[in-house]
Amino acid sequence: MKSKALSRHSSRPATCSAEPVDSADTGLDAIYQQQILQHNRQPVGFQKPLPHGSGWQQLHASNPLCGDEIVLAVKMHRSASAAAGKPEPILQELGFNGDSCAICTASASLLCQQLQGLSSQRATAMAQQFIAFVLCQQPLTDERLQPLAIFAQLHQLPNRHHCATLAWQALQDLLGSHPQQTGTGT
Amino acid sequence: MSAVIRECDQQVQRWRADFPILTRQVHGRPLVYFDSAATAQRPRQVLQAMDDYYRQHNANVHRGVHSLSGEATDLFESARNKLAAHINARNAREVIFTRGSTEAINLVAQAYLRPLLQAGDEILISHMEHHSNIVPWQMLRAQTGAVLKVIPVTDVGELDLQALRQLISPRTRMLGLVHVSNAIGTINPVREVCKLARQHGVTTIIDGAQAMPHLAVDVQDIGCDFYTMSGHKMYGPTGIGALYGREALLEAMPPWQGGGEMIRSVSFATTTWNDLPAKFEAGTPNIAGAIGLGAAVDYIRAVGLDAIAAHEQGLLQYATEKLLQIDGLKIIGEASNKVSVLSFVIDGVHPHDLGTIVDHHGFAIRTGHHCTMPLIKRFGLPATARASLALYNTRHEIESFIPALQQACDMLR
Repeated sequence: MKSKALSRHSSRPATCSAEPVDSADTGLDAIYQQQILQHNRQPVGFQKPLPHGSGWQQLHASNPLCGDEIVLAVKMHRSASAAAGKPEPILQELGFNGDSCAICTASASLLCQQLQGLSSQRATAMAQQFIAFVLCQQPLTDERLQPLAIFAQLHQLPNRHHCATLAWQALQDLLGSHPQQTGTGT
Repeated sequence: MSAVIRECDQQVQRWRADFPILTRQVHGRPLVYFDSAATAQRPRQVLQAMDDYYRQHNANVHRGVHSLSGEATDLFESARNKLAAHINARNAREVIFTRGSTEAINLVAQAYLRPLLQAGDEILISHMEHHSNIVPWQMLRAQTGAVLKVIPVTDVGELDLQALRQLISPRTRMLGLVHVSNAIGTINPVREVCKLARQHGVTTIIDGAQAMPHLAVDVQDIGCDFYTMSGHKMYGPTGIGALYGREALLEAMPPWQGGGEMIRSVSFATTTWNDLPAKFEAGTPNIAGAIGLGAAVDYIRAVGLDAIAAHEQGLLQYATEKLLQIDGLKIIGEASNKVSVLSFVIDGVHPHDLGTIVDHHGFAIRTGHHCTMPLIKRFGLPATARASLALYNTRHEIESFIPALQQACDMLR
């Protein structure tokens, strides 16, 4: 994987000679990897309108600084845990829609893909882990989070961190004991 | 014709040579700075003036009897005089140094209007205002019970003058209007608006932050009561700006902030205020900033606003033609009178991704709501990409921007 320093200083006359565009030379391929572009073009769980009704919860999340807006929807199902005999909330289905950049869309798509069928407890832990990965370069230890390692290059782009974490922060709010918002079907 | 074009190119290259930062590379590419509406770059003449002050003349202004203080005071007040002459204020007492246009608007809101407002009085602003000309009035609304009314903007991004005439009422106390929109480049008919306001006894404040680098501004000709400026938008340093106010209004206003400099005498029993402009400049000012702003005024006048306008209008026309060749690109804000600011969206390409991708090709553009959330929302958008061009930009830079945009489209669509 190629990487490039974010900026270099060099003295040159203040003329304006443009160089040919060359994607391979720019490090963009490390940020906009094929999996991210694919999840942006065909996001998993993207639905318009989102389902609502029995078991569905929704949350609208936005980053007004950059213009990302999404609605995350989760259908919870309580299944009996064989070991404890207590019902455990399961993320039975997930969906989202909205108007968001490729990074945000791909991250939300992978959230929907990787968290389906998992317990609320595990999903909450995964959200914490992914957010720490993006913001603080903490490792991704949950095996279901490994596909999200494609966002590693965002470590060098602090102004894109919240694009990647928006859906996961929305999930934390949805699964938390006091959700901040509930949305309506859109 | 080719000789004229070569001379124009040489002229721009001479201007570019004044800006050291333009020799930088970003991601291994030549920097192409298309973000002057966020902040302009500084010519070496401004940097030199500030450096000279700190190296040779640094002292506090106004209060000292020693030589350095005298020199610093002369440089500081000379900058004020230059700015006053540049905008055709009647005298330098009508120019108050502030941190920028935002602070100037807040000063007018709190020190001029708040004492006069009663519940139910009306403040008029337009739908294309920068947050700095919205939020201070909202705060005032919460403090006084005043009513905020909004002048609509048309689909091409122009002020709806017909609606304005209907919105002015006997309760209207203040009309705030941006001279040039930072988001979409519209030049508003401020002279006409201020005339209408005067006919109804309405005080006017014009946000001139984006106008000063592009247009000749004559506050007496415009006929406004207040005009605000930001140094860093007009090739000067950050942290400095100014408020122009008609002397009679400024004289009648209570002070904005209290402290040193703005007083004539202080005792625990009573304190008296200093004369204009000091009455509104509490504390040690941004001396180096003011000197830098004065140097920026000198620079703009040396280059010539006519030459700047001619060059920038040429860039605007060329950039508009080239951008519209991109499939699915729509320009937001197509006023018949614009400065060289182009906000645009591209189908299937989010502005934030666009900004990151072109940054890797050396292009600095801005993406988002540009501190004009109501305006961007009015166009039904979450965000736009914005290229804002200045005297140091070139047609060649615009040409090289197109393949970078196209690459973003190819990657994401």
